[in-house]
Amino acid sequence: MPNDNELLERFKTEAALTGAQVKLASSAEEAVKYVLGLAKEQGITTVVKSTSAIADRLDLTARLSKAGIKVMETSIAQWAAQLARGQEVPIDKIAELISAATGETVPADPKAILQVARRVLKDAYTGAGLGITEADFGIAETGTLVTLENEGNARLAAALPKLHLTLLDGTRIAGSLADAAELIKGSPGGIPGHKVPTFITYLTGRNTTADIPGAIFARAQGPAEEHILILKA
Amino acid sequence: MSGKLRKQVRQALADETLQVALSRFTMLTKFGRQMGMAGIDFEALRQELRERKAKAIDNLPALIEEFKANAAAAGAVVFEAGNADKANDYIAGLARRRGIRHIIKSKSMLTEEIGLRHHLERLGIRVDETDIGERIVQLAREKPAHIVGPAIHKTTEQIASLFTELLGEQVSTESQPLLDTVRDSLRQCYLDADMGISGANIAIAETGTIVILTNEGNGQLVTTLSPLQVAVVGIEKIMPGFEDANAVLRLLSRSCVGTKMTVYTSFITGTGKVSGLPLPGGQGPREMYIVLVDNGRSRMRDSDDFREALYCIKCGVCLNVCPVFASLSGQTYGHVYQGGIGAILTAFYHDRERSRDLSEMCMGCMSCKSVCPAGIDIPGLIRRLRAHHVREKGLPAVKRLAYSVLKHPARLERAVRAGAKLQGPFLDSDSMINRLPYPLSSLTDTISLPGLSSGLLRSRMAGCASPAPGRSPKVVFYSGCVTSYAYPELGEDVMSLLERVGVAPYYPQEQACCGAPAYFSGDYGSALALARRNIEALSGGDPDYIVTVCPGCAVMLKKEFLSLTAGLTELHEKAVRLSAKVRDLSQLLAELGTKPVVVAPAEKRVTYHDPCHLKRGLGISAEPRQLLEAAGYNLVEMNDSDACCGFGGDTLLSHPELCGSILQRKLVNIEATGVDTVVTGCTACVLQLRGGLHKNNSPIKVVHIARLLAGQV
Repeated sequence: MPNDNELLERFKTEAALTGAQVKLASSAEEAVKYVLGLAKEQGITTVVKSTSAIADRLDLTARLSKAGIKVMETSIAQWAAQLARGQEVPIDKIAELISAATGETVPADPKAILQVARRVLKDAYTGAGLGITEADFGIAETGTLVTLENEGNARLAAALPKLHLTLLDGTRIAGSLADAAELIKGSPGGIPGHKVPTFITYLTGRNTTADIPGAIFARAQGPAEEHILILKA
Repeated sequence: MSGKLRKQVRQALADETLQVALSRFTMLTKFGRQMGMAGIDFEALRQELRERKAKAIDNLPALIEEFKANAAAAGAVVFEAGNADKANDYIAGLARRRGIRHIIKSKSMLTEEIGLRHHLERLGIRVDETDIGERIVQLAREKPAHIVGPAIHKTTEQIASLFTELLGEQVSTESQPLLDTVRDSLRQCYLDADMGISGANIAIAETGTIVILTNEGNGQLVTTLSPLQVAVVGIEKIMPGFEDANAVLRLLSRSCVGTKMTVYTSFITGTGKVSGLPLPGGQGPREMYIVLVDNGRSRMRDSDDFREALYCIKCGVCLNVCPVFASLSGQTYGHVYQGGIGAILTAFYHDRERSRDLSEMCMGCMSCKSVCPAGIDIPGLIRRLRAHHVREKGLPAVKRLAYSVLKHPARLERAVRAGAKLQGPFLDSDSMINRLPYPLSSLTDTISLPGLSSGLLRSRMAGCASPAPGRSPKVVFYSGCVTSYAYPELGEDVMSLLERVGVAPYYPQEQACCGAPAYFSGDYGSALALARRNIEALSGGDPDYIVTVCPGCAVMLKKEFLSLTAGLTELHEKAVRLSAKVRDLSQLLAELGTKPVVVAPAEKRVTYHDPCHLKRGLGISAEPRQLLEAAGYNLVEMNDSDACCGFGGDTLLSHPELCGSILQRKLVNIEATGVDTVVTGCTACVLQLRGGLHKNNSPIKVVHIARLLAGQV
């Protein structure tokens, strides 16, 4: 069995071969600086992000905001909390918050809330310069990032913005596709009737197309670049 | 064979733009596969995939039930559609009930198969394809050219003009800005649509999950952005668990594109929810429908002959290596599924008549079989398909006549003698026939034929009917028709070479045609009669080896006689014993470790063409090269030395232009080596290459390796 370091090295090598840009950060500060540097270099003014324990640990939203970059949470519950300045929001208050934020009257009905939230978030994903998501784990043999979710916001934040950055805990690397399957089967995801989470995405490298003659082109329909920031313990 | 198809073939071959696109495509995919296969044990992985697919198809009814239960528990609605109409009506009904006006769709061969897009469009619903290649063929109102790359035949100019028309503004013909325009126009489609339709590459029974692979990312968007989602899934995609899905993932992208994994591999299970809030569906679909389509698959499953076609994972690598596809592109096949596997799928999902035309185009080169990640014997399936056609409709009159002559060596010899007398006026100074009159004229469209020999090999071998007493090993020489009737001097060289290396060769007089033409046309009756005759003739004198110089014959003797005689216990046992003794000449010489009997002229450079049946049929490619080098020849490898020469047997009659196009690619590679001699180990390849070079007035000589090793050149 390869140890954590070997898995991480293999993951880095394979991910780089797929065309992703891989950065290993040994400290929180180094990680934050990297994200700020990336945003500055690429002229990013808006970021959409999905739920991420690593981002929380880095206090990333606050640091980006301080640098003048607008960060929007994309999980609806977290977005509402963001609108409520960090307070957890019960469902009946969400309509009010969204009404205030969007300037349109949203009835306190789950269907209506969802409809408006989806519309607003769609605009946010497509308008964002950078999507930040966190992978549940990586797969060393293929340089793949695996993201498990039920809401669907992570896959949109990964696919629609101009650039995509995945945060990854360097201790969470599976060796192979077979190991990945075992990890997934151990993560039922919390919806009754579901044996696995609703959306499991394996992302390997940059999106490409060979349908336009001339070359194999990157940025087919997803982000122009894939960045991976690995936090080493 | 339909005249329409032949016309389409001619058009494709005359289309220079298409031919340029195809040669680029062939080069790219060849390079891609080399990358994809690096560092893996392909044979082990494909064995595993094949076993998992086989098991899944065996247990399909139970797996369907398991999948349905788990998908339903996760919030999906599963509908089983027996045929295309039922699937289309169900999806159209759903769209109508929900008042859908605009659908986005990711690429799915199954939806092409059932004609779903056209069905919905006829009902006035706008359907936008989102895979860029599929979008291009949609706008061009064409069918996909390739399972994986639907628009490989299109130029940037053609694509730009399609989008100029769609968007009403001038679109750049430069690749990068063109791609930007296409992406932007698709983005708007995703945001506006109110329903998404996808296919599935795999369905996992234990969790009710569908798996969708895209490199462009459109799959992510199609399956998430619309509140109403439909996945159209062929029942053969269902496999038990995640480990089965992994077996597919390990080979799919590696085979067709050359990357380790497709960029986005998406596992979707039912519908989601917003975390922490009671908002069902989340930001993905609120409703998820899965339509399981049969449409002929159960019938295929019930057929022992064709069941393995269901193992196909639709990677398209069989097309990438197919010489016919490389000449025509998938557009010419005229149906949804292309190439060899396409002929089989077409027969079950669409149209038996059309599949007959398609099956006739196969050259039998076995390239597809050698790369298929599920180990599907595509050439074998095509042969079985031809046999089914023969059983249903009988043989065409010409073939019936031809095989009845083949079955009777005496009649065949009379015919050859008559031909040898009549051919005089057609022979040129090299004893080659450059033009035959109608109805045989198509035979000389692309190659010159060798004149028939009046001194038949069998009579020349009358004194060699049994081995010299006391010598060993005893080696039967099986000559095959081309040697017997066109190149008898080659046969004499083989006998003298065998004498000189010290074995005891003999030539049983009762040997006959191996039956390959009949067998590969699906006429098993004639093939079995010839197998019986040859098994008896070649077993006499209890030889240690049976040696051939035509690998096509060797494959018949070694492998196909076994399947032809299955069920005839006594004959089959003899066929098994015979099979173990069959050797290609170069294989036998290598096995016996014989010393070269002649030495090459100093600095003599030659190139070597790998015959399909020798390399892929018998697995022999190193031995002839070793023999050439041991004899002192300087071997200059050509590009694609193992690409088919275009001989293709009966295909020469039905599609001479196609054979000619495959031949010309080979000749270009031969000429590029700059040598004046091409060596090969198959009499049919000699006939084809020599005929093509002669027709092109090329001075390059084609030599069978046996003649070279016997010092006759």
